[in-house]
Amino acid sequence: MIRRSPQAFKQAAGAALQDVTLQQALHRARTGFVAKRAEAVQACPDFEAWRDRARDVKDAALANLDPLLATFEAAVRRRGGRVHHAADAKAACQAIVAICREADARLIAKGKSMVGEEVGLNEALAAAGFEVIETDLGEYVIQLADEPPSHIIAPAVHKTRRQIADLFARHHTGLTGRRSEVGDLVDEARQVLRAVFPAADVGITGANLLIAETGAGMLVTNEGNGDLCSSLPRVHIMIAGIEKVVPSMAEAADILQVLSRSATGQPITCYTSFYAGPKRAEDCEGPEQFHVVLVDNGRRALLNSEFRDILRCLRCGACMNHCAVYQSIGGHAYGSVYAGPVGAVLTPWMYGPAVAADLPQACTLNGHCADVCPVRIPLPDLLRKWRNRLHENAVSAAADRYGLAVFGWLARRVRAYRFCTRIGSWLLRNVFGRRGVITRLPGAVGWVAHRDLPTPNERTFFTQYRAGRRS
Amino acid sequence: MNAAQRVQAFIERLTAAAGTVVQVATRDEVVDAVIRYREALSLQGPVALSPALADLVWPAHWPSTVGGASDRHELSVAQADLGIADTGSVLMASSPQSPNTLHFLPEHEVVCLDANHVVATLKEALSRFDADTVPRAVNLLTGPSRTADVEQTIHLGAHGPRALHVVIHSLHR
Repeated sequence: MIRRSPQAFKQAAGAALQDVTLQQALHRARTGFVAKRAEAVQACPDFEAWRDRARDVKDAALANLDPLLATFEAAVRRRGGRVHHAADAKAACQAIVAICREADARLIAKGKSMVGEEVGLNEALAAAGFEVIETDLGEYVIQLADEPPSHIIAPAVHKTRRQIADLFARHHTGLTGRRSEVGDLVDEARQVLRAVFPAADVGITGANLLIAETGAGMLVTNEGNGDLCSSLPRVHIMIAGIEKVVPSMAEAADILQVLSRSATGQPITCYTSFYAGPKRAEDCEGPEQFHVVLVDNGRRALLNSEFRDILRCLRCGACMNHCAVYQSIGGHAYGSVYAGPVGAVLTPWMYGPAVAADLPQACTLNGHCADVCPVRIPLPDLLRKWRNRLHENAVSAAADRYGLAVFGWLARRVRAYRFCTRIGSWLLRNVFGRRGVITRLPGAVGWVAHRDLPTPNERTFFTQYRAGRRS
Repeated sequence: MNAAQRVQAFIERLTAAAGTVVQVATRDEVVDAVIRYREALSLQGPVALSPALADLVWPAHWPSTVGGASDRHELSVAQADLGIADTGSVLMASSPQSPNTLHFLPEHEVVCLDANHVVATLKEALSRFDADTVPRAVNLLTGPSRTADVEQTIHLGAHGPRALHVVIHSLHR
């Protein structure tokens, strides 16, 4: 089983680079997601204005968070639903376990939820004796494999078809034969999971947005499993972070026009649904109970921090799809629920900077994530803020901190700086350099292991500059 | 955009999302369109008819029920409240006359849409719902169910219907 440990990032990233199967899966995902988003955005001349609008909607909602949550709660109660407030992961799991116990539940059908992963919901429900079955195909695959998701919207993106075929052959013992075509595998999962929805006592889903005015939770899916979890079991529980609330349905439309285009390149997903309360008195179907569990788990503190902008995140996955580091190592190496650029910002906050100190450093600052973020989160700026913090609080590696201190001292002293660069240049040319290329360098062994450093020119930039000015 | 342009845009978007569309002159003719759909695909299994369409004259010999759908239904026939031109979606508001299991359990869904109920934008459609008017479920359907969870290869018919067929009626040109 792959464990979550951001501390082991360097080691895990190294292993990921050597994993041939993973590299094949990542290559396929990389080309798919990036091309699809580009095509979708190109078809929308107003897309940049839509991103501005989505950013403004989220900022306004975050500035008015508590009144909006109060409106949401009143609307849910008016429809006969219940709202539960969870300060942290433990409280969220306890609330949901309590609802399931009260409902005398045994089997739980679950739709995909990132905040559910964040709070460790499946583990808590299993420990409390419930049987939980993930119904999103990707989540189902990784549940069978006993692995955490490696991508926000494509949790099994790291798995190849052959690996999925092996998993199904091993777990679906009631069926005969091993299937290997994509269509056959999807049909097999459909057949197995079909029995789960009507049999389940409780359906648990996430929510892409919470609509304050109507007391509805919005669910965006392509498979339709979230809707089956919301409509067939007798209890429906939605779990959502408090930052998901927007004022009304009109703002939901503003978010929707950038959300799936950024995620999968679709103008809209196959199913976009709003669920407001349990079955009404006159209805012939629908759940008897409707619960919303609102999770804080560090979000209110984020709101008052320099990382506030990250709360706009819609969990679309565009930043990781376009990230040079994510593309190379995949999601598991981050050792966190959230991978890629958004994960590198959130993980130190969630797990503590000492544990996740390497994540904000694993960034080339090429800015692609900020270029594609549908709500314009300045991800590279937030990563720089983490780097500053880690440096100031002496959490970053000692060699980095002393190196930077020496450089800072030298950079402010022109003569000393020139003297040292001359010595350094001479050493690189005459001691470590061979045939114009440096392949071994004490203190930078890792750097030169994968790259060649060209030997410096005999004349420094400054000598050339001066010579040029004189002539 | 006038009604005809909105319908045109709707058809283009829905078709791009792998939905299929036919147009008929009147609401009564929706029945014939469903009969043709069923025959073309050689469907013979149980049909779940939306109570909202129970006033139409359906073939007496069909194994049909009026109400929500269950796992045993092969085809559902439902009535859309709105069509949305800029996304190609049909909007289904749940009610006793419009149970939302129709949209997720059968293998095939046929949706009846009045051409005069096609709005230009998603925002226009969603803005119609406030605290008083929101039903238990608002479902926007844009093509058949799909997944790309196995190697990013899109496969239709993940958990919901494998096919979504929209019959548009009453377009006055």
